[in-house]
Amino acid sequence: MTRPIRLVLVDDHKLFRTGVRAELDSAAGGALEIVGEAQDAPGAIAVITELKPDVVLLDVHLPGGGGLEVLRQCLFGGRKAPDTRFLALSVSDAAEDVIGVIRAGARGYVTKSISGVDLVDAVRRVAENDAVFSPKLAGFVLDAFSGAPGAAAPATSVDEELDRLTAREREVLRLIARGYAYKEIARELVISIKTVETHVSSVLRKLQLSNRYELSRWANDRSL
Amino acid sequence: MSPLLPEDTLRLYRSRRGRLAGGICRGLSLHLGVSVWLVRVTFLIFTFLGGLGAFAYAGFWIFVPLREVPDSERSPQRPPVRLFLLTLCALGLLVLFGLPMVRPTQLHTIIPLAAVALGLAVLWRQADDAQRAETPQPRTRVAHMVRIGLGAVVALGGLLALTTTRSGWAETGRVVIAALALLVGAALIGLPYFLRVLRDLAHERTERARSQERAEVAAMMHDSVLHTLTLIQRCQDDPAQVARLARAQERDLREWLYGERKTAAESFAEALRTAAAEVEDRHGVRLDVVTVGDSPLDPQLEACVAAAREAMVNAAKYAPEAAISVFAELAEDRVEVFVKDRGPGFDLDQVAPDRMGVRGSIVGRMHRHGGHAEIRTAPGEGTEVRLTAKRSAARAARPGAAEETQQTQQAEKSEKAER
Repeated sequence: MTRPIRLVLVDDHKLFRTGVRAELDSAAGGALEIVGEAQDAPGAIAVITELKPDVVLLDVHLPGGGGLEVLRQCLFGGRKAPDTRFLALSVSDAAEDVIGVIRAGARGYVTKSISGVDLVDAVRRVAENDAVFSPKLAGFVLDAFSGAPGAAAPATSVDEELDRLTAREREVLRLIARGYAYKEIARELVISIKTVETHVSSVLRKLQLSNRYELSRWANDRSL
Repeated sequence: MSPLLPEDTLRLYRSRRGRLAGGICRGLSLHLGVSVWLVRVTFLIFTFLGGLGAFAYAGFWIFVPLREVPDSERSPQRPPVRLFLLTLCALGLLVLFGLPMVRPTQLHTIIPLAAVALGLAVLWRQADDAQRAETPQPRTRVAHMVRIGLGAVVALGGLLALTTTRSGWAETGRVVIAALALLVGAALIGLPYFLRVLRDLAHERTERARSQERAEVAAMMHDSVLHTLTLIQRCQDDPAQVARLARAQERDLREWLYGERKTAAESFAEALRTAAAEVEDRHGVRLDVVTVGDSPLDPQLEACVAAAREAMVNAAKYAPEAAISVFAELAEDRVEVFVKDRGPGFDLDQVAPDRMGVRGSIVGRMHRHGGHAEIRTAPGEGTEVRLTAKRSAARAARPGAAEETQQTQQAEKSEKAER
């Protein structure tokens, strides 16, 4: 890594931002530079549009539209910062939230209980355009993609491919859900870490693009 | 009291206080929330119309009980709009039926008139109840429609009888059209008012739902969060205890916010989470539980949960520092549970087979239920316990299932005896 990753923190709790900042500073050792902060959706959109950071740590529950609104404005809809990568950070484990931000374009989802070292690792991975799956998210994806691909979906070749996880992807997800780190997964499956990352990114793409109807129905069922 | 009437219907009484004769006019005025003089004048007018008022007065005197009218049975004063409408309706009725009646003592005019009055009274009462009731139950709503229909039929029947007995069909048509015109007029006048009442009611309903929700949140906050915070302040010298309290509270809140609110008995995933929560509480560790798929518990799944719990306890004992991952996948044909810790791990070969606490409670239990357990560990690598079992789809519904449970219980009993 030649230059530090430029990071923006978005969270509505000042205390939490301060904590994350301190933790990242001590754990990253200069590999990260926090260039901005925001505490609500409009503020975040302004800061991100102006600074065009590499990575945004984005809280899912924000005043002014939530993390979803920020994602919408910066990525697909508004395209105000199309090259910025987003890592969602939340205390919520609700399937609706998790699937929601991933579908809106976040490259990963971690819970706030993550350790500083793991968080730095996750940020680095997202900055390199890889995906970050927490065990919970991996479980959700396995659950949502379980069973035969949706019979209701029209069976064009693209949909077929998007609606189904390969055996290898499934294996990787299961290991993530079991609490394995990428390094351990690579060793377990006798593949390189890069290959593990490729599999996870591919799952992320399917998660974002699949119009498999079970996905939204499943998330809604889970939300109660 | 008819069971069809809602509890909070206002009851009509003859008023003991402020009465001239039977207390009927005063009672009616309190009941309807209109001026007592309006009621009196109405009775007087109807008395001149063939003695109808006197008849009604006598009827009321006989059937309505005399008492002090309590505040709870009084209508609030009606707004002037309604008073105006009432007067208008009364005048309309008078113009329609009252004036042409020259010899009204005849029975065939009084009975239809009484029918009209009865029908209108029922309709009035329905409207009144509907406005007062907060959320009509489906059953009472049906009763409601029935009664409104009956009221309308009676009133219309009376109207027809009244008009047809006195003249030919041509005249009847004219009168019916006039009556319809009157109704439409009244509806047009009353509509804005009616809509406002509806709006108010809807507003009140949402307001009530909101305040109820707020009360529920407040109660939850008070019962759990505030309580835990107080406890945490009190034992701030004991970090382990603080962490345990915070973790337990976090779990509770999560359950409350995002939980599926299933009981452990009907859900394998929930049973596993409950087991994990118990281990967390008892050993002060953090367990991350991820489940895929779910199904009601059966003996095999119960055994899996019990074995997994044992594995969690082991992990909590030997690797209390780092988070412990629990992953369970329930598919059509198999169930798998993984419990992985990031503790020191150990060399499996160094441990004498008979010394392993996991023998009976984990491995043995899984074997009895057609599955097996496997332990993977190495020094410095952490430990992972893997439980697997094949499932047959019809397992839970199979008639022999109960028998099998018994056998299992016996086996577990004998196992305990051996120890």
